[in-house]
Amino acid sequence: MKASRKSHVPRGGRPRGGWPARDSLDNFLKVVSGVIPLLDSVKESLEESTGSIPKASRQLDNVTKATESATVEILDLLERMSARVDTLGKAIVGVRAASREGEIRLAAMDALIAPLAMSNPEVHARWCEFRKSPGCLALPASLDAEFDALRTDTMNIGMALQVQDITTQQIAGVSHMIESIRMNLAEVLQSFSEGERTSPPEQTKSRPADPNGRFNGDAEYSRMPDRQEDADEIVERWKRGNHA
Amino acid sequence: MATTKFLIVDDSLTMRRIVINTLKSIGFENVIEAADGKDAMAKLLSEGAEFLITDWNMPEMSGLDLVKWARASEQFADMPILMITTRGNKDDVIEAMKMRVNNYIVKPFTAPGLKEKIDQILKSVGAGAA
Ligand SMILES: [Mg+2]
Repeated sequence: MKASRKSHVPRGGRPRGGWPARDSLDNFLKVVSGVIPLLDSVKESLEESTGSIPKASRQLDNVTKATESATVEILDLLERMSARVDTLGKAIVGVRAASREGEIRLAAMDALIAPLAMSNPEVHARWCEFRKSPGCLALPASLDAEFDALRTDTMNIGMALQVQDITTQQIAGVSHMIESIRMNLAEVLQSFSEGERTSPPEQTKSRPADPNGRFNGDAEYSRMPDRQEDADEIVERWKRGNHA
Repeated sequence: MATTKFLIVDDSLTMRRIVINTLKSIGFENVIEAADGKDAMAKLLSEGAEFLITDWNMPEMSGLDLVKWARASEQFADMPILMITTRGNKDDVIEAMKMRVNNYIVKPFTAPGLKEKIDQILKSVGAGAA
């Protein structure tokens, strides 16, 4: 190599220390020829990633829609259940009233039968037996508590469905984030293509609107009362005129 | 049965139904609804309401902008307004109070919590509680 190079040396001879500029250029060209396929593959994988982002966004959208329709179905059922619970509640009130009425009638019967029962042990025994029969018992007192618990549970299932609004906002936050990433990737891809470098990339013209207002990506589903207590404290201080 | 007419504003159908069901369970049956601030403005102007319960984050027009509009109007300047939102930061609560909401609930809310706030507001504006 050295010898052949020497044979092409111009009249002044080989500079002392070799051919640094030419060696560097050779090395640079080698690096560039290695980098070009690498850049091509980076571009390819960027294109692939950018292309799959809309699909990911659509999938997130589908999750939101599916969750919403499931929630609507549950709410429909709960509303029907609540209506039935109310109907049952009214029926129980009716039974209680009838039972009270029955007690009054039985008391009147007691008064009528007492003289007969005193003289006839068999009438007395039969009457006592009848008074003990289940048909003469009032509804158990615990039924009201059970019934209230059923109503509260139905209500609480409905309240827990607030999670759907909260997760929808969280998903909207993630969608917004991945859309921003897609746009940044699209810009990088645009810069690979020299011809389009002079005009602004198409995607930047339609950046997503400022999400502030549409959703709260930081929404959280917490049953702990502390967030409400903090808000209450701020509201109270505000109302008292202490805005600190 | 309380006759106060409520307007419930939330972009989430689920939330609107939950709030409406809760209101009914505590005795308020007179309720209309809107899906965002713009829709709410139209409903207030066409149908009217005596009590506004609004979400903050909504498309088209946010709850805060709706409150700003209501407070700047002659008709709804003193209307009772309760905000129910996922935004629980101190700055958010203060911003809403600056816009003169009457009270503030952080989602997820509870039925007793909603009742308490409504009763407080109705008491403070001189209307009867449920
Ligand atoms: Mg919302």
